[in-house]
Amino acid sequence: MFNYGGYTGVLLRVNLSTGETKEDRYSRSFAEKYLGGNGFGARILYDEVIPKTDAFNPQNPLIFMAGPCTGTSLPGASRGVVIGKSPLTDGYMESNFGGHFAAELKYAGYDGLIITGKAEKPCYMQIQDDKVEIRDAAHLWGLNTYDTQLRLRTEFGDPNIATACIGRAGERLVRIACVILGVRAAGRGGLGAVMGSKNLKAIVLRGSRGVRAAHMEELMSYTKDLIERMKTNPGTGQVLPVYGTPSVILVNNKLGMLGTSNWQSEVFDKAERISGDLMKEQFTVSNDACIGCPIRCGKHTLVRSGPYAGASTLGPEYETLWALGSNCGNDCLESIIKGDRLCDEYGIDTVSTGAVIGFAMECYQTGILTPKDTDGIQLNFGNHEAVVTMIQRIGERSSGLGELLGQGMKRAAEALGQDSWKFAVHAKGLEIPAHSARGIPGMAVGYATSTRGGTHQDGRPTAERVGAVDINEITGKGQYQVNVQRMTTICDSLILCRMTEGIYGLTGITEEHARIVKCITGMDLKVKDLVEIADRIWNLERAFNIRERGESRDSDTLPYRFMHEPIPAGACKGKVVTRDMLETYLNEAYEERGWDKETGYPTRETLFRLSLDELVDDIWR
Amino acid sequence: MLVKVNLFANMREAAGKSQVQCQITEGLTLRQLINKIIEIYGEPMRAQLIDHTGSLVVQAVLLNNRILQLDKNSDTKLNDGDEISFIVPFEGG
Repeated sequence: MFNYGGYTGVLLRVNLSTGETKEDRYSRSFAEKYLGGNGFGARILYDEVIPKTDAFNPQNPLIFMAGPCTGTSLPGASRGVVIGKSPLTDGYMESNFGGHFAAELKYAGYDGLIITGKAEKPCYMQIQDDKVEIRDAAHLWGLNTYDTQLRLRTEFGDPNIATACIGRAGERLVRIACVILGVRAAGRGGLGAVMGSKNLKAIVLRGSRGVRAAHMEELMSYTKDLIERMKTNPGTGQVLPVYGTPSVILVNNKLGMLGTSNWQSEVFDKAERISGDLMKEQFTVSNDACIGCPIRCGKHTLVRSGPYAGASTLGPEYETLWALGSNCGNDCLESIIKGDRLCDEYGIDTVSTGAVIGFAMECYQTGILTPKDTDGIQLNFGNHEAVVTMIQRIGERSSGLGELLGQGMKRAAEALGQDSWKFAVHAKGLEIPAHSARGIPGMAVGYATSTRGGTHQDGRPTAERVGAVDINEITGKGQYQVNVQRMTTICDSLILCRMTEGIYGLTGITEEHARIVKCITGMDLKVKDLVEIADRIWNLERAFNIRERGESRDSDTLPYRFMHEPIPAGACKGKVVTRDMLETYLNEAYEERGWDKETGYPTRETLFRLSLDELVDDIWR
Repeated sequence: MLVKVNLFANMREAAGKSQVQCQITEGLTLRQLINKIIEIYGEPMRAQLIDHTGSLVVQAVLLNNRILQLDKNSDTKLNDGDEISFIVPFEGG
C-alpha cells in the first residue's frame, strides 16, 4: 500500500491520438527510487521516448510533474516542471515554472500528467479532479498566451483556474517556444513546440483536494521557522522582495561578469539604464508571489510614457534584462519590458530569444548577415527597435531570419556558416544564460556537464559569486559542481525554488533537505541516501542523452568564445577557460560521478550501484 | 586615507547613495570597514550586513579588481584610494 505523505500516488495519462485517459498508480519503490518531479520525469522519459526519434514524434511523451512538496505550506514549494525530449537540443530537457499550476495539479489528485499522441485538430484539456475532457480549441488557436488564458477564465467563469498554454510560436513549432502558465514560463528547451506538435493549445486545471504531509505538526512548526529565517535573511527577506532578481545586474557588471554584446565583453557601460534600481524607481507597480511563497520576488512593471507606453509584464527578471538588454547592447529598459511581454505572449523563451538576437547582431556586425538578409533592419548592437522587431519575427516564425533564429543558435550557426560558430554561445544546443563561465569556474563546469546544456539551473553560480566558495580557486571545482548538481537534482525532484537555496543549502544536499523529505513524505533518508537518489536521476538523464544524441566526453565542452577569447576588460579581465582547465574539471567531475574518463559514460559499476542495471546494455553494448 | 565603497540594492538605499567615500585610519581592515559603515548609516545598514544570529551576511567583496571571500580576508588592510564593493548575497534566476 502506498502511504507516503506528499504524494497523490497517481499519474494521469492522456493519449491525444485516441482520446483515452488513464490513472496510473505507481509503486512505493518508484517513489523511493526517483522521489518525484524531474526524477519521475527522467525515468518515464527514458522508458517511453521511442529511441532516436524526433522530438516531435507524436508517440513521445510531454510530461508535467509536481513534486512531493508541491502544494504544501513549505516555502518555495509552489513549483512544477515540464519534461520532454527537446526539439532544440535533441536531448533531455526539463523546464521549471512557478505560479499555482503545479499545486492545482496536486489538488486535482495527480502528481503528474503524461501526454502522448497528437490530436487530429487543435484541442485543449480540462481537468477538474477526476473529470478529464479533451475539447476543441479552434477558437483559441492563433491567440497569444495571455488572450488564450483570459478567454478560458471567462469561459469557465472562474478567475482562479490554473492554466498552461502555448502561443503562436508553439503552434508553429518554433524550437525555442515555451509553455506559459498564468504569467510564469517554463522557458527553456523548446517544450512549447512539443506541446504544439501534439495540437494541444492549453490545459485548464481545477482541484478541490488537499495534500497530506506525513508529519503535519512538524511541517507547520518547520514552516514557521523557515519563514522567520527567510524574513530575517537580507537576501530572501529584503533584497528579493524589494528588487527581485534584477538587483544582480549592477553587481555582476561591477564584477565584470555581465555578458555584453553576445559575450564580446562582460562589462556593459550602460548597465545603470537596465538596472534593478531603475526598474524599481520608474517601472515597478507591484510585487507578485507564487502560491504560498513569503519572498514575493516577482515584479509587475508598466511603461507609462514614450514609444513603449502601455507595455506591462511580470518581470523582466535578471536573465531577461541580460538577454534582451546587455547581451544585445540594449540600454532601453522600456523596450525590454515590451520585449519580455511579447516573448510571453508569443510563448518563446526570453533567454534563448535574447541570445539568438545577440548572435544575429554579431553576424551583422561581422558581415555574415547583411541588410538584405534582415529585410533592411539595422541589426546593430544597441538598436532596441531591432530587438523588438526580431522578437516578433521569431515568435511569428516569419520567413527568413525570424524562421532561422527560432531554430536556435546551433542550427542558425550551422546554416549561416563562415566563422559564426566561433561566437555561437551555446552548450549542447541550449543557449547560455546570463552567468559568466569565464568569471565563475564552477559555472564553466556546470555548463559543460549539464544534462540540459546551457543552463544555470543544474550547476549554479551562486556560492562562488556570493563568496561562500572561493571564486579564484580552480582546483576541485569539478567535484564541487557535482555536489551542487546533486542539490539541484533533489530540489527539482521535491520541487523547491532556487530562490530558497541560501536557506536550504547552496553547495550540496544538506540536513535541511533530509528534514523536508521526512516531514512531507515520511521517508527517513539521510543525506547520503539523497545523494544516491540524485545520482540515479542524473545518470538516467545522461544515459538518455547518450542514447538520443550520442553524448560523450567530447560533448562536454564550452563555446569557442569562452575557451579562446579572454574577457577583454573589467574586474575579470584576462579570464578564459583553457583546454587544460576544462580537462581538469571534467576529470574531477567524472571521478566524483563514477564515470569512465575516456568516454564520459557512467561505468558499469556505477550503474549497478545505483540499481540502474538495465542501462548497462544500452550504454555499453 | 580615503576609500570608495560601492553599495547595491538595499545597501544603497540604507546609505541613500550608491557610492560613499570613507575617511579611514591607516591599517583599517575590511571587517573594520564594515563596522564603520554600520556605524555611519545605523540600523538600516546593519540589517543588510548582519543577520539575526549576528553573522555577517555579505560573504564577498570586490577589492579593486579582485573578488575576495570575507571570511578569509577580513584582516586585509586597506590602502588609500582602494575601491570596495559589497556583493549582495544571492544570484539571479
